[in-house]
Amino acid sequence: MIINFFIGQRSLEDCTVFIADLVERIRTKPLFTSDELPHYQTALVEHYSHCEAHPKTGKRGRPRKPKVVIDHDLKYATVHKIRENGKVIRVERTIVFGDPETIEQILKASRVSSGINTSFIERSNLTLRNHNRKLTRKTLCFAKQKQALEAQTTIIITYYNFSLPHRGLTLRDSLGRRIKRTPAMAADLIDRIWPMGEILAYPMS
Amino acid sequence: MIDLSTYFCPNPTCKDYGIRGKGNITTSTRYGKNKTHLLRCKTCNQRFSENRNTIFMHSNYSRETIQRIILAVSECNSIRGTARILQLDKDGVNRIVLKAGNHCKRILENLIHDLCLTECQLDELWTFVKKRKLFPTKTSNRSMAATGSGPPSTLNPS
Repeated sequence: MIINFFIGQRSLEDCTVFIADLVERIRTKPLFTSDELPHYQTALVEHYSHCEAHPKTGKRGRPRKPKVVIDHDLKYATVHKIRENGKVIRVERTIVFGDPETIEQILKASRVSSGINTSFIERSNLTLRNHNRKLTRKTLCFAKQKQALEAQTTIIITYYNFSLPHRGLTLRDSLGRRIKRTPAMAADLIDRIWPMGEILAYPMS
Repeated sequence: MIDLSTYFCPNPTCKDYGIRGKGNITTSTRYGKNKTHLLRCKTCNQRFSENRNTIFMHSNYSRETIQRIILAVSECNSIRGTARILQLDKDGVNRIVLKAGNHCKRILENLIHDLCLTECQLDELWTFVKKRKLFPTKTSNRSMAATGSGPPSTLNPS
């Protein structure tokens, strides 16, 4: 499921806003995986850390600056793809924060991931590009106004989360019949597929 | 049949304002050429349209047209392309898309929260926003030789 998105530049300020919104929406501390953009690490540390003051020395002078202590249960790993002639030849996975054994246990218990990866977000990026005309490359339909890009991206993410059944999330009932599910159904946010008409007719304050 | 559990009282002074599925909403009557339901809050007696706080409010397009616009845009159709398919005006289609974008934003804000995740992947997607300048910047040297296709030749073609 696409939880949130932010349209802006690839800067630390925008990344901090994006991570702050993401952290507000989740209750647990999941295993974060990303590419090697350093802003994610900085923004995550900002949200999952606390300051610890040094004990007083009793001497004169300015006290030492408080120490930033990162939460021990923060788990963050990066994926670095090494390419040659445009083709991926090797993938380097680095655990930045967290206990490697805990991360291994999470990945073993996971029903979808066998290792540290960003495959699912890359796949959903492609789905977004295929559904959103403003993101389609090498056409004249690129966004001319940020407002229009935001509106169309929001519509398509809502459509993807609530209306569009995902083949990988299909279940089978006791009689062997297929039950189609959307990403929001898999996340227990809704109990049935919401058609787009129903989403548009859902009153919001 | 209308599902009343999704509606709430839109009156900010009512004590049941914004609460869904409390049983205080009832159908009152119908109005307009599309026979739109007029709902009533039993707590404060406020009457309101079933289209209140949705994108169908104050729209000249019918529900079916608006749904078709949004579905067409969601399946990678351009604004002008959608307008041509549905035989509508491109500005009208754009207005509906912007309105639906705001509505969907509030849905994402209000429904996606308190998630229990085990894995979370972060990534970026590249795109750009650009607008052609309609008029070139002012230049002091306005002559065909400076910015145009050159002055006409003075040589005799013969």
